[in-house]
Amino acid sequence: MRSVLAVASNTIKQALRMKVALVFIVLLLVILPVMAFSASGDGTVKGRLQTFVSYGLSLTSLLLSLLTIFTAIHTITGDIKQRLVYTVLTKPVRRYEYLLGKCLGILFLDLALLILFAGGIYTVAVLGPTWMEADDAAKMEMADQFYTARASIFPKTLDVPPEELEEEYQKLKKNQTMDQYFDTEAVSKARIKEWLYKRMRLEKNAVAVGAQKVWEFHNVKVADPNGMLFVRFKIEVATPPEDDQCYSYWTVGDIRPYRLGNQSDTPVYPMERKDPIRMYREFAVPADAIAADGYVAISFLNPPINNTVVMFMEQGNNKNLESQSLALLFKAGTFRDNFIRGISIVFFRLIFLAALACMAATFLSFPVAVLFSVVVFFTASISGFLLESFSYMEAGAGLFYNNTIALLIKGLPQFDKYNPSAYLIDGRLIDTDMFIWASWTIVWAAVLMVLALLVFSTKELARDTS
Amino acid sequence: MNQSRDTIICSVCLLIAASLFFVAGQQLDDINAQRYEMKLIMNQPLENAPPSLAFATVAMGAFRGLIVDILWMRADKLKEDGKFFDAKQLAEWISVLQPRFATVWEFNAWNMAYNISVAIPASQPEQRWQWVRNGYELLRDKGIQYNPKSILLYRELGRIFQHKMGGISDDAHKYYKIQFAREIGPIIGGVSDDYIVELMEAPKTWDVLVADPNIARFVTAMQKADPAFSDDGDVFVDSYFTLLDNAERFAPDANSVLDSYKGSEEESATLDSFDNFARADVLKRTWKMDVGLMHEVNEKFGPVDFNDPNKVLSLDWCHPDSHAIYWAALGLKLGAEQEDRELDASEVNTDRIILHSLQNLFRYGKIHFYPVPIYPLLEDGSRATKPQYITDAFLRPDLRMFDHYNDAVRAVFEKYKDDRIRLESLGNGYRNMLKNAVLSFYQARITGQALRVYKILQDTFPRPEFTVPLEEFARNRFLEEMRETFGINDAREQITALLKDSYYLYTIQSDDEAYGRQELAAQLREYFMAEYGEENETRVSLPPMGELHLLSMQDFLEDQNYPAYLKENYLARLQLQQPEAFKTFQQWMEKQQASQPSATPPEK
Repeated sequence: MRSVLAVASNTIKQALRMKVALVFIVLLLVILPVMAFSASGDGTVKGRLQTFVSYGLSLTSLLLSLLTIFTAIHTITGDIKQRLVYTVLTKPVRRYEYLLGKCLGILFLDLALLILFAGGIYTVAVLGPTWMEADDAAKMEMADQFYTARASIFPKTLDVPPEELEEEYQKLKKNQTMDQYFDTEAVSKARIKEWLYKRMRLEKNAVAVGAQKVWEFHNVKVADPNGMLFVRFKIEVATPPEDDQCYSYWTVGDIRPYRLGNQSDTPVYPMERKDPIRMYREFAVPADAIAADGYVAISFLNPPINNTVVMFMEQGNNKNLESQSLALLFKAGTFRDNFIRGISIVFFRLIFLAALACMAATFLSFPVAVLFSVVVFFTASISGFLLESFSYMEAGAGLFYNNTIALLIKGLPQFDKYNPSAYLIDGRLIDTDMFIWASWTIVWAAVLMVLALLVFSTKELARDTS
Repeated sequence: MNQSRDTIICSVCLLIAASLFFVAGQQLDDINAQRYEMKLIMNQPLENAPPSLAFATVAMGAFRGLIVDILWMRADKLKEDGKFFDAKQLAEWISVLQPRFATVWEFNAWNMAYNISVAIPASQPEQRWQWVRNGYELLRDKGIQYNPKSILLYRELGRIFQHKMGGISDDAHKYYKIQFAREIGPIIGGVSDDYIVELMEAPKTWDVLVADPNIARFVTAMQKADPAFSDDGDVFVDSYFTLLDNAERFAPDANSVLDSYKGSEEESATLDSFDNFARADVLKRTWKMDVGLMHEVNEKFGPVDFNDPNKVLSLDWCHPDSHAIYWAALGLKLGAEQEDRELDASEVNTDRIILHSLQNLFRYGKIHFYPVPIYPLLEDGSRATKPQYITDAFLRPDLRMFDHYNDAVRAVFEKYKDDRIRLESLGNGYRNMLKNAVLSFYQARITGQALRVYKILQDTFPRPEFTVPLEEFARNRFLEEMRETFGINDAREQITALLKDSYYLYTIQSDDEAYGRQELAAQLREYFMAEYGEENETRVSLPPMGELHLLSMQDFLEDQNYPAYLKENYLARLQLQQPEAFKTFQQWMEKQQASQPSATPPEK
């Protein structure tokens, strides 16, 4: 262990002497404060802080990621090229200790810099309202929507049973109406059924004019019973109105007694609204709408004035807030703890990149290793976008990409899916599930380090003349 | 040996590289030609751009496109998620990096004016207005400056004025109209076209202005009075308007100088000259509007005096639709410079902006702003006794707009005469407008015009429904508009609304229109009783017309939307001009208050 720490300590000193490392550090030291003063957002205090946290955290993550890649690769390839590695390995330092020490040194440096810059971002985020002389209304808004960590739960969806789907498919086929929608020779049965499934599910979750839809939630436990509940929704309509806005009548509370003609023990909150369509919106009701047993229902009435069917499009099994048309949010933690979790996720990312860079450096030259690592990093950062873009490809090309490159991409950690800044600016809780999923990058890192050790342990260093 | 071999290899590689460069260079002309054809090229360097913008468009090099793509994706993703905290910043960055790509400006302006503004609750109209303003200012002040020939941007700017601000679909539309009028009203509100012609004749630059010794004396006097009036022409003009708006912000001497120039005829003329220059300058500098084009727009699209059709009347430049027409007309004028162009969707939509704005001005082109007292709730739950006043807007038709609307439509028909599909769609709109116009003129008792328009309708669209006499057509038209939901409640509402409207029009001296409303209300009652009243006499019948008048008058006088001074004026005029009716109403009200129904409702 002493050898590992010695190598790590030397690596830190070596990294700090590198010009490229200093460049990244100086960039962060300059850009973050400038951003703190110049971020205007939408002009409101909340908007400015959101902009600063979003860009600040993203920039810190990006620059530290690049710093990790460059320094990790440079320290190893530099040692090999300049034959300094011989002076290390001739001592009683095993190859795996050398490699682990390198990786650990980079991670210690990353951790120190991450704490420094994240601490700065947190300080500005917390003290920002005071510096900007925010009024009470702005402070209250931020307390509810920014300085918080809200958990989200989603309703069960009305799904389409497989037999119903098959029946509908056969009906379309028999009536020969499928040709109206598809070029049946070019499009596969699976694709057609996928489209049909979406349409049928949509019909089940549509609300006709004058009709009502109820979503029920059970075992809802909030951290602060005197706080607020938030209903987040996104409405689609069959016929967009002229002003792209839709009326809605909501009720939140325990409606079970009303079904039996009784009064509810807990308050039931009605809410009349007019909101733009195709946009996520939120409204808040007091958390005492939740019954003692954790039950709460949200009902939506499509008033006749809309004169169109209202649809809640995304209600799939993907428990991601961006893919759900309705969610219930409530305070489940603090901004500080959430921020720490977010920073931890960034650190997991750096762990992965450090291991990746170390592995690449064991068998590639400096430029190639950097190129390889940067490509993997950027691919992991936009993996969601890439995978989605493959779905728009033609059948032939799509088949090829989905069975080759898409599989590779899916194998990588998906950095964009676990982007902490998106949660922090919205006051959404980085829950345990997400945290655990994000921490799988450490497992990946371990695998990469094992690979690196295997390669490095068998590498004939004397032959390396790169 | 090895060295000479290496030299030869290097030389050959250099030669190949040079040849490839040469061949690539030869392709450049062809590539540029294709880029021009596909409209991917900057026609000329970005002129008069601030250094930061010029730097950004060059420094990024090939990465500019990539960065712009990333910014676009982020903007789109945030928009879908309903997050707008970053929208303005992203719009600015995208516009900086791609200033010559018109769609960028169009999208960003639309995003701010439409998507972001409606995300703010209607209870915060001032914030909504800020985003609508951000939208149109982005196009007017930046987008069009960098893309002066992009008709797309003029169309979008016209659309924001017409639909967002001039229309009625947004809950806060009245607020937009009021704020817009407050901003431009002090400059050009309520002016005649003759005044605009005077502005055209004002000096074009500050140096030319102060070359006049009288003006120079005035300028010197103001500068001595208050240091805010500096040598910089722009600052001087801005200070001048601030002084007119709020004299307390300046030294008393400044106001004295101004007052002194209102004395003699010569000094008054000097002040008027300066004032003309200042207004034209602010219109050009702040509002980016040219007074010459404003005059042209007045001539071509302004209201027409029924008594003197040759007289040029000015559009109401406080009305957003007037600005929609201005910008659309400018876009079409610049677009028309390219004679061999194809008439694409942007151009036809810009033509539509003008036609729809003219229609809107016909249907609600007269804006009347008036203070409305409100008595807010106090903390203890009681109502305040001292009123606070808010401004409200009342929109009324301007029937004088019809002739130029008609001319504009005919011109557009001629322009697109070879495009059957577009003609058909334009024709449908024209037909509906003609039908509305006949009814509007008829209701306003301008029968001559109603007949003329009806004749146009009959000649342009020969259909059986247009062969009936004018009176029957007007009634049918009115009823057709209400037929689907015309029940007792609708009848009561329509009749009451018409009568209340007639009292308002009577108060503001629009007697013909007031009488038209009352006639229509009577006809409506007659129709309803004929259709429904005889079968269910007590359940769905309507009171006699006299009673309806009294009830509606009572409603009118109790309606908080009409300010007290308006109602007082109404009663005063009624007492003066119709003393019998006034007395009847007084007696009826006394009986109402004493809860004793009158035996026989009097005829009005």
